[in-house]
Amino acid sequence: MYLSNYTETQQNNFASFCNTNILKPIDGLTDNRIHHYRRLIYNIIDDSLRSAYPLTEDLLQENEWKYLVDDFVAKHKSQSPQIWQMPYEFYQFVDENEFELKAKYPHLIDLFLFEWKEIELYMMEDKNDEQSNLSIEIYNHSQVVVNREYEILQLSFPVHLKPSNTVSLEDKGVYYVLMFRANDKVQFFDLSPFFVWLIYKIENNNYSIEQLIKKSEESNKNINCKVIKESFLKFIYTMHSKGFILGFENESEIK
Amino acid sequence: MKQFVGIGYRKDFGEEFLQSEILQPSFIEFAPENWMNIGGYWKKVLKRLSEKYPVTAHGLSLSIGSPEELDWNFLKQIKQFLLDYNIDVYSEHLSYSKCDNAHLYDLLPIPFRYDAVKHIVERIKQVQDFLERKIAMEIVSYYTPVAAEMSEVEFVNEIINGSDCNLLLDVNNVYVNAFNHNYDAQSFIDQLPLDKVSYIHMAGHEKVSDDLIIDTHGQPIIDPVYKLFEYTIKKLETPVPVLLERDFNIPEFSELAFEMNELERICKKSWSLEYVS
Repeated sequence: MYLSNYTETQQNNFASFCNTNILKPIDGLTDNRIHHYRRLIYNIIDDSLRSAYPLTEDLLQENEWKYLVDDFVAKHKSQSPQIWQMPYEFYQFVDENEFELKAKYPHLIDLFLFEWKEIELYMMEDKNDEQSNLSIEIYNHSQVVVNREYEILQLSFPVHLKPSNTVSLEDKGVYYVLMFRANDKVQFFDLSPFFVWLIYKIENNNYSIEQLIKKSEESNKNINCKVIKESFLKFIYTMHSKGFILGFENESEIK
Repeated sequence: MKQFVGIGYRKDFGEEFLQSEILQPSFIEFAPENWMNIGGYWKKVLKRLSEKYPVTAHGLSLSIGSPEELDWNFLKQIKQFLLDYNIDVYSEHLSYSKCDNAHLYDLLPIPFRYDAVKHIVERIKQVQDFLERKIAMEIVSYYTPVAAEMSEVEFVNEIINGSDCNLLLDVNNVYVNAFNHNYDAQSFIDQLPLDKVSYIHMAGHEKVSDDLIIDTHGQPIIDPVYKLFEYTIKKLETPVPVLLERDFNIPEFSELAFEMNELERICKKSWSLEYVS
């Protein structure tokens, strides 16, 4: 380490001012120009956050948004060298702090999560293998191949179903949202617990269509089998058309 | 297709850039931090771009002047990125953007001090060893000096010569710094290690007050900067790639093409027509 304590302190004080607006001693500055650095850095972060969280920005009053960004810039040490990932740290920061705003807007964290996941899924590294042998035909023995570029979110408020300024405590419950990347865009669907269960079964077992229908019937004994089968097949066809299900492996191709 | 002049690729250019007959750069530049560790749509676009054009990389977050340790995990990702897109030229900034364990996402001015020179020389050598290539370091624009004990040009010379790296000469930055700190831009250029210049950047800026210009990359290049560019390249013994940077207020492609044509015209006036790799 060749840097003297003096030089390091000068650099730390400069950076600290940019974050906190508190000027500790720095030698040789040209009058008032350090403020431009703070302004530029603040604007870069603010622009990036507004772009990442347009729904949250809409929900909050301007002074509330500014308070959040001020607090984040002053207190948080951003860890990602990639600025497009910094908004995730903002969401985490708000989740761990900012209790008053979370009390005023109980669905605030769900909204952050929902908006962040759209970015994350859109940008995430490719996960699907080349699948050249998938069929579009479904047989009883077919196995479902799902798009691995997805997440299921569990939310307490329906921020994916209603404008965020209309969500209230009365809406509190358990909501599942399937989000996935297909055809170069991120799509989302509200899911019932049954379909969450079904996706889990598809992902973690090598069940055939026939076995999946049977398992579905076993776990939903109070519902008519015909209704279950129809719902099941409708879900499979819809998700195939949307790109969440990539296709079907048939027995001869599996071998 | 241009012979000398490239352009920094921005998301705002979209896929349209690939089909454009107006913009015909000789190469394009990626900022790795905007594109590392991604997949999906943008990865496909970048792959197609890298198949159509030679690509250079210009980093933002290396923070070579930082008191912090070098981030080796980040450097591994940079190395992979260079490999993925078949990139030879990697450049960065003579500045710091991480301090006290926090990224600031902008380029802060390093104190022009002898200990900082030693610190940075050692770090550039480490980076070059790790990436297995010479890198080019850019003189950044700055709005205030910090605890300086040497001149800016002495600082730059000591680092470039001491680390045996290349110099990325951003002509607009020299113009901005000369204006902001009241020195002569041509004289500054004359004192640089011009034999180490491997790459030139050109951009626009914004004058925010009578005595201050901010390097925004959001405006067209102004005539005095074109003149300084012409002055500079006449002094170079061999041609080098020239890049137009436009990061904000992205105009129509025709406006960017106009600037690229002007740069190309000046290059051709001064340099032979042989292609520069």
